[in-house]
Amino acid sequence: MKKITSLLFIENILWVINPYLILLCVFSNDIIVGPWISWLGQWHPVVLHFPIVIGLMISIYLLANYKLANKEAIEKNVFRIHALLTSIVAILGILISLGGSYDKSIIISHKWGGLAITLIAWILVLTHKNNIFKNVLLRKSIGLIYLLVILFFTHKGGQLTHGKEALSLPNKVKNQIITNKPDSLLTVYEKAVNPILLDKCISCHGGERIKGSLQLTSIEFIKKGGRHGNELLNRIHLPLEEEKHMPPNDKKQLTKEELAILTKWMQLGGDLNKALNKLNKNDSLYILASQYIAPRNDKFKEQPDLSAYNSNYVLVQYKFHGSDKINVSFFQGSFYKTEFLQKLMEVKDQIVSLNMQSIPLQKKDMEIISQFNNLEKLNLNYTKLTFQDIASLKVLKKLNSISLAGIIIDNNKLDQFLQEVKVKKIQLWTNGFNQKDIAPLSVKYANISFSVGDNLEDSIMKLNNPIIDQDSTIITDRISVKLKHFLKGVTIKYTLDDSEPDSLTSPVYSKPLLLTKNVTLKTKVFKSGWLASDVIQKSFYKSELRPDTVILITKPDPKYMGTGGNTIIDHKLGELNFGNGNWLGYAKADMVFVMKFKKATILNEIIFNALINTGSYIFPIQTIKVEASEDGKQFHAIQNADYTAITKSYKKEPNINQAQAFKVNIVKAKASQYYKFTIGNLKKIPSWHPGKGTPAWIFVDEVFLN
Amino acid sequence: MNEFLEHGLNQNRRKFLSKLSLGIGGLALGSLMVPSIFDAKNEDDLFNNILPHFAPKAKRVIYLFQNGAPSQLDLFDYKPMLQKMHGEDLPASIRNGQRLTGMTASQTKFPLAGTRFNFTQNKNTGAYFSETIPHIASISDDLCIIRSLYTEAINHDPALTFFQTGAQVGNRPSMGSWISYGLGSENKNLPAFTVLLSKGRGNGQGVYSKLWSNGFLDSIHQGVQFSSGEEPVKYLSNPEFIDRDDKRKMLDEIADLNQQSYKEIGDPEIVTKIQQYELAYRMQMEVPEVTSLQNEPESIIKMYGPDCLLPGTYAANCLLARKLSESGVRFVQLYHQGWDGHNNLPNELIGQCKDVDQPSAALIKDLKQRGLLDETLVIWGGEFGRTNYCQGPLTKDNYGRDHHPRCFTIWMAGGGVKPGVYGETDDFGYNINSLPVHVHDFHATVMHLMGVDHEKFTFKHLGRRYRLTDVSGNVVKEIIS
Repeated sequence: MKKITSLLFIENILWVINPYLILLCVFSNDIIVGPWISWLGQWHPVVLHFPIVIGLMISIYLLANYKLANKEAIEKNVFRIHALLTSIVAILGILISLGGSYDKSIIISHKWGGLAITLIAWILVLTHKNNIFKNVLLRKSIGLIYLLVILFFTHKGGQLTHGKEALSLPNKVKNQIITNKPDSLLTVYEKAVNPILLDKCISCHGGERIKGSLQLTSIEFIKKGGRHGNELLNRIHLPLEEEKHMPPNDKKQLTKEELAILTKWMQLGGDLNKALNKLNKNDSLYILASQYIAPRNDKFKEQPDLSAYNSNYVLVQYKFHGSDKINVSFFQGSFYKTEFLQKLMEVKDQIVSLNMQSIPLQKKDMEIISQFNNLEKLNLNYTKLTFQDIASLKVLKKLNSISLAGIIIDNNKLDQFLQEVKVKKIQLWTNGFNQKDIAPLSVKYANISFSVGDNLEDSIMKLNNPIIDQDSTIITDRISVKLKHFLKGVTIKYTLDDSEPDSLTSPVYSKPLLLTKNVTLKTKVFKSGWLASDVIQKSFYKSELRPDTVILITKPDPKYMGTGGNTIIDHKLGELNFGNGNWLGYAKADMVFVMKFKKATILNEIIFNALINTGSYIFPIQTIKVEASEDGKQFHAIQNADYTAITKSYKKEPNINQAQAFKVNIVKAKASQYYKFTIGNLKKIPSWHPGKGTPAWIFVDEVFLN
Repeated sequence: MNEFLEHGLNQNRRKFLSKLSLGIGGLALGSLMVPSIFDAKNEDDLFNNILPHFAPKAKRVIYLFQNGAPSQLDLFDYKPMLQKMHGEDLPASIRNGQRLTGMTASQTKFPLAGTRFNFTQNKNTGAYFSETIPHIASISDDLCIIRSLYTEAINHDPALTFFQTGAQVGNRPSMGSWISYGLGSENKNLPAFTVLLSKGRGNGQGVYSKLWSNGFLDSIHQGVQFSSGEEPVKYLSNPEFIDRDDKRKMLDEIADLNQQSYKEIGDPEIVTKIQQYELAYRMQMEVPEVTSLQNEPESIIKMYGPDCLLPGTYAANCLLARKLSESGVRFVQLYHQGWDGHNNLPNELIGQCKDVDQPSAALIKDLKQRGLLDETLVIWGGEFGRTNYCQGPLTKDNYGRDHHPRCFTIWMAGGGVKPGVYGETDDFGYNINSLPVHVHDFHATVMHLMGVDHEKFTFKHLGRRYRLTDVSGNVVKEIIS
């Protein structure tokens, strides 16, 4: 009894590894295996013999209904050991299958077959306690089924390892001998077809492995085809995505030319003895085959991993996948250490391109770089090196292009440098160095391509405009206005008296301006070596008074209603975008509204801020009529203003798009509680405009009251 | 490893833990087998091992996207025939049933509009340039001009999305995201894919973040949009009284917690978050240096024009693009709005060119004088072209042009492209006469220049593999040097 308990742990192990096995089976396509794991997989063909033998014995034992003395206990433990071995072998099997070099269709059936065997073995263990095992008929049938399952699926496995022909009599395999005959004596087969097959097909179809029962080593086999008949031409022409496409999509593919050679040759009947020079010289098969050069067997070597050289400050990468050439870039000069460079000595002969831009290099660094024998391209922009420091580069015979932007240039030293360092391209841009300066050298070294760039330091250019850094134009009490310009060393001048700022008399801006009354700020920047900027101006409006309500008598266009009457007294300007909700827009009618104050208020000055955008049919305000009232019912006119002259001054071009203030001064101001305004639009757009004859829009975003 | 499997495996682990106390052993074995199950970094390593597929001509891309579609007929594709037939109707045989946008569909006449501008020709390459872009014309010996690009979309949003992601509907990764995913960042202290926006004076069209979306790729590959304000990357500096060491400690602790919850939940976004924190930490050092334009010498400022110091302008973005690119950002994407000239096109075009011409040319020259142009691919172009007929009223020197997908011009420079002119349109500038280049072909070519075989570079999502070019695209070998 002691023995029995001691093997109970196997059941526990089965509970761990069998779910794991199922997992592996389901996801086997997505699993990535490391070298150790695939090494483990190699044991599958070795270990598998144990469970097979035990399994066969079990099934025969069950089938024969053999009687044993201590039946219960022995059965139990043999089943357990068998199930464990089966599971292990199945897992190893999955691992080996991931290597991928087996016939997929056989693998799939073998995989699920193996799983079935494992599960049956497990079920034997699990159900053994039950009474069903007492039933003789059941025991016999389980034995029979298991026997068949094992025989069928392990046979499949045998085909995998030993080839499809494993259990049939051996065939004579004729491997084609590659000759050293001159082209004139070669057959098409020798010259091109056989090398192509050797290169792209025979690793799976011939020689050691014969997948899908297809051998491509000799013409008889080629003609006979594989398990599915002569499918060669079909399969190589299938799209890459097709599962049946050959060569498999993870293998090296046939080139267009190779595909054409195989096709043409097969179409000619696959004549083994067709001599190349018997073909018509214009025949495409002749042309392709005679130009075909069998590949030398120089596959990409798997290059050593470079991750040890990489960090956040150094990028070390192969030029491309499979190349042995290395590109190196350094970043973040403040973290630079010579050790980073020193470390690259291990791969120094592979480095072809080195980017050291803005890295604070010294002479000792250059000595290291000078040992990168195969360096072709070097970027030393802004390294603060001198020509003396980089003279050591002369030993680099392959150096082709060097960038020295930002390095101080002395023509004599450059001349000396170019005598020693044989480059084909040199990039030399630096402040104050001109195309002219390089002229003598570019004549002397005619085979070197110089790139100096345009040095525009001395060209006269117009300054861009200053910025008035204050979004609001409304002064309720006072407003602080900043002036800005981003170019170093400029002088910002300004005026507040409507005069043009000039470089002599206008005040210089030094600190933010405080504005307290209606004013137009004009500003302009100056700098020596530059033309002065345009004048930038902005008007600021005092708005001391604010009515309590605004009642719109005529309704704005539904698309441009803003927030109703409040829109024009909310101290928010609408910019030039009339659709943004800060504007009230009127199309076909005058804008009429009433302002109501809590107390009777004197209005001296009213300013309407209106938009003019002729392209969008928005024209200036034509007339403004101001009426006053004590009770909100009886209004009497107190002021009229006319602006029709503005519109008349407009000509055909260009489109005007700006905000403009329309000011009304009330000559005889009197305190009133209600004011009514009637703002007239242009009734007929002038004839030069595409919208001639139709009424124009008016847009108002704010009214300032003083 | 694909997300489905990873998620599935994580879920299985949970079931095991709760249902089978012994199952944990199986899982431990599982993690031996699938090393990347707990470690998202392996995915990248795997890709770095197979990319680039072949020797790249370009290491970096700067894409100067001209949003809104500049008029090829007023910039590059000179058609004297249109000037001769100015005002005459577009022959139906030329239009050949091309669908129209809602904006001109109701027009009964399609009067041809000859360009108002004079053109000059580069005698070496045969390329034409209008007088509005003298600076670009001055570098024409370096430009590869494709006059025969065409697209499938006729409106801005689908056309832009098509150009950026290879599909007209959203949700696919942007070009820059693909490049970031495939090639990663050169400089680990900066994102691999950055986005810079600017706005011109002309009629503008929106840009939206879906254009630089990572789509189904890991969100670390999303384009990082730099702000157009004075501080290009916001909230990057440490708060007061916190120094770099404190920050390091804090990040380590947070990463620890995040690792734990990743092991628990298995959501790959947690790993992304950890990586993003780390990148931001490293960016703290690099970004201020890269984005400060104040230290550029005056000769450079004059080359790009003084606007290059004004944050948010196209000129500033071009200068910033050079600085980012030379610091190892793989893909710098600019968008400049304002090319949508449906009416008043010539006048708007002059304004647009004022902003764009000088800095675009300066960028090429600047890269060249630093020895970077041969490894940086610069692309300049919009999402489609503009019609040869007028939208709205036509006068002698003013006209508008509608969207035209059948042919348009873009140019590229540096990074392995051959200077010259490729492709030809008919005398009306309406159809392509020879060597058409589809947007997919363009994508395939850019990928090729980066050393990537567009057909092999895929990502499996929702049960099928996607590429930037999806199922089409041919490399235009003739323009590769």
